[in-house]
Amino acid sequence: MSFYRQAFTLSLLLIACAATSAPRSAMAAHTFHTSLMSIEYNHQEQLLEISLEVYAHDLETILAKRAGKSVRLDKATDAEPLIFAYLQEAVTIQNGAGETKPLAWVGMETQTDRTWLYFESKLPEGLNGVQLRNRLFFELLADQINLVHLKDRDTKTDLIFKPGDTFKPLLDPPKS
Amino acid sequence: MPVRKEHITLQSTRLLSLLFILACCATAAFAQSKTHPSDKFRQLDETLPTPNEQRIASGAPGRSYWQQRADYSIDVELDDVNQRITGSEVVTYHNNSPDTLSYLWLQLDQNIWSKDSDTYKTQTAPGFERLPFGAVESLVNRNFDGGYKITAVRDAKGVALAYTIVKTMMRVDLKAPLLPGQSVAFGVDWNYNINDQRKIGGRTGYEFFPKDGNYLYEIAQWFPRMAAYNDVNGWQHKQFLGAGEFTLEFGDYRVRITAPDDHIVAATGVLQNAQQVLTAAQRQRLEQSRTAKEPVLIVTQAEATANETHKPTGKKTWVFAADNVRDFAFASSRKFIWDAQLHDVNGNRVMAMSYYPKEGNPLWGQYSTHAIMHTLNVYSRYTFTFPYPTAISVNGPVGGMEYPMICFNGPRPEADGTYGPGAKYGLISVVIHEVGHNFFPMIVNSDERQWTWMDEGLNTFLQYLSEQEWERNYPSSRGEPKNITAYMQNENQVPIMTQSDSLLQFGNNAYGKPATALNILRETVLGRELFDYAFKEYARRWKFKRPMPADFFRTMEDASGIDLDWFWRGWFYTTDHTDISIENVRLYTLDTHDPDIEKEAARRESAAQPETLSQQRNQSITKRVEQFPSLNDFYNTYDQYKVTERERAEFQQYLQTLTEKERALLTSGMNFYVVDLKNVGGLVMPVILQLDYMDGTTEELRIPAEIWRYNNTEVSKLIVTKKEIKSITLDPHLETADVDLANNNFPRRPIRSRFQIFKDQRPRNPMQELERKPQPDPQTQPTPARQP
Repeated sequence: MSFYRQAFTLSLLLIACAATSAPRSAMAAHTFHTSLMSIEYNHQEQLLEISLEVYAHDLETILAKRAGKSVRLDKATDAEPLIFAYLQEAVTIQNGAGETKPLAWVGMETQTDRTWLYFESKLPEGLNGVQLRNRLFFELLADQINLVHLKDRDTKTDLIFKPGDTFKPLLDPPKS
Repeated sequence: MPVRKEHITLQSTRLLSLLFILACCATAAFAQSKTHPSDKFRQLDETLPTPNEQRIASGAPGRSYWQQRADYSIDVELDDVNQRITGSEVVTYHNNSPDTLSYLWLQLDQNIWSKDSDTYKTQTAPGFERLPFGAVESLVNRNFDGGYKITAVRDAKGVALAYTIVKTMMRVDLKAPLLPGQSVAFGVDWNYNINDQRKIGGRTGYEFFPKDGNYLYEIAQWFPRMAAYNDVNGWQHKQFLGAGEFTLEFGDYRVRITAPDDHIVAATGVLQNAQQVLTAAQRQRLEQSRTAKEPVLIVTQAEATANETHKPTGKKTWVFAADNVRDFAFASSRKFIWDAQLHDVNGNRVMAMSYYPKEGNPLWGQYSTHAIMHTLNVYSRYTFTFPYPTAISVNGPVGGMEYPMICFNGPRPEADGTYGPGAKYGLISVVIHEVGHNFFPMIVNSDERQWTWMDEGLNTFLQYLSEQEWERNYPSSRGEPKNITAYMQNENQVPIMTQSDSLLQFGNNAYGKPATALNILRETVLGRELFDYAFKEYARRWKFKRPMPADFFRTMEDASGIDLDWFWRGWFYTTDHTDISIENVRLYTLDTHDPDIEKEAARRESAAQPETLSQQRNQSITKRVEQFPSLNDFYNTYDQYKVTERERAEFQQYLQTLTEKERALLTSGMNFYVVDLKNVGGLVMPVILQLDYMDGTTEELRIPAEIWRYNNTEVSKLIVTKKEIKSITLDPHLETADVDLANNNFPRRPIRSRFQIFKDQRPRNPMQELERKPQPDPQTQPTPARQP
């Protein structure tokens, strides 16, 4: 019975996602569903410093859906608490022991159609075993791709998150 | 500034030995070799198709160049009650090829909405973790009955023709083969349901306004269109999957659009029956707009708002004619506000017009038509004079999509009439972009289904130039090299030269990267004069023709006179990125052989040696020779740095053996700096070095990419100067898209990330600021060097 239920849910979602994303809308800049996260580890302050570049339009859409009204990104005092609340749901960082690390809001800036979100996470235990999950906009866009670029001294890691992906190790990702 | 060549004299002056003063690791560099093949300057010819009589080696159309032609006469009715299109067309197809054709292929783009379309079938599995918002809505749309219903295909006499529908294509079998130089006319009847763009997306569709109960239609890919037949692909019948746009033939169009009689219709081409479809007031205002200095409202906002509550009393048929276009699109609604201004582009008088619902104001009335005229001016300057009679921008559900003479643009202000900078600049940018597409690919008719970059990349490049001419410091999101670095260093990408439907990161790949590449080609590699000449030549050669990638690459080289194989290879065929590192700087100076100079230098060097810890601690101990001076002999007072007369004489003798020139060089006091450079990112690029001297002066060396031609990974550049170098900065103007600035300085400087710069500069709370006592912020001590 439970198996049957799950099968039904899956097919429902397949159809739903196919329909929402099917013929990709033409060229308008924000119809390319990609976000780009850059992470650096600040050894001195033991901070994971994160900047996340998103299309302003996608951010406004998700905020409006959640808030039930339109949210203007250029009115920071309104938008920032909403964005940070969403961010904490969409982006999760776990240390080597599997504990979720709190995020701290640093700020944001918008330039035309792009918005950069800045936040950080205190991580005295270092990067070993740290895992990241980035589900940004997955509930909005079936073809969303979240890219992550980590730079720590000479180490560089690239991760890619697509709908359905769960936690991935920040360092030494398994070859796929 | 040219690279200095003085190092040649080093080799010829055999008598001058070099004194090694400051050096670290001299690297054992390897160039391309049998065991380490790396040839980033390899000729591109082996990758490009062999030139022929259609497409010649210079990149121009050859003497046997040909292209097909398709003229259309179409009757179409827009059903505003059922959101439905019903059409009937006669296509006259001209076979200009040297080939005999026994069948014709047409494109049925609407079939992307068929329930069994490959677009749905090939969609890969989504995630199941979170339920998309649109899930319930999309379940309804699962029942959307999209796609063409072809009701008749017949020849000129009305006799049915056999046809076969293959997904988004249709093959029509001719009764007799179509010989070279012949034409054939045939008819197709069809209908289809229009998609709700707001719910299921698309480049076309309708928007429903629940507040007033009206619809706004943006109609495109709405008639069976001739597939392209060309010298490179034969029939270009790559299926339409959604990302790759269109490949089309030029032709003349006569289109009769029947719509509810209270609709305003905008379309490709020129309206032929204004007398029948416009009111006297509208015609009079149109006349006014031909001499106006600002856009004139043909339908005002008050009139458009009043129209929203009307009910149609019948139908009207709008007749449009468009010559030498590759496609035809239109828009229709009773909600349209309409403004117009006749604009002179180098003598071609163009009617610039915008159509938008009241929801588009205040932004649209202020910016849309101005942005159209601005685009025509700038693009015409870099390509050719805009040749069409109209240029239209329409606001509706589609975010941004281009068709000949007409485009659909999405941005709107908030419901309360306010808008953020994103909406304002978003609108101006998208109007520039979509109107700009008239040049690429509407006139320079590249194959979008295979090569998205050929129109999007070139167009985004010109969009950037146009934006920068709109206002000072316009916030362009694409064009500046520094904006592409995050993408360039990312692992998850494919080369620009990848087919349109297989691109990863569509926007960065086909828009941002080629636009930036062209900007770098213009500013850093060729210079504006050579680039602009070659780019204009490409546009001129392929105006109303169909170029392929090789035609662009070849023309840019042929007209500029610069070998760019390395550039195309690196930027378009690979995913290499720019990351050049200053690994080390070594200084050599000349051994003058003059004992008075060299011995003094040696003394200074010896004195500069640090005292060791033991030496320091032993300082105070009384020494035996100090207790017993009789122990002193010659060696206790001998000064090894003191110059003897004999040494001076030997030096004079040495000078006698030198020529006048060699003597001058010897005493010139030149410094020989060797800068060791490493190509970390793989992309070979020009090396731009800013030299800051101890005396406060600055010099810039601009070294062409060919410095890497023998060794693609490590090179050393010699800088000969009388001055002493204080520091060296690589790429000081951020013009090469170098992804890592941390290795761009000698001596190394810490470079702060975008995060750190923001965190330090973030606006503080002014109320807290007022209460805070002035005190030094410990976090800013010491101040790290800023990114240049």
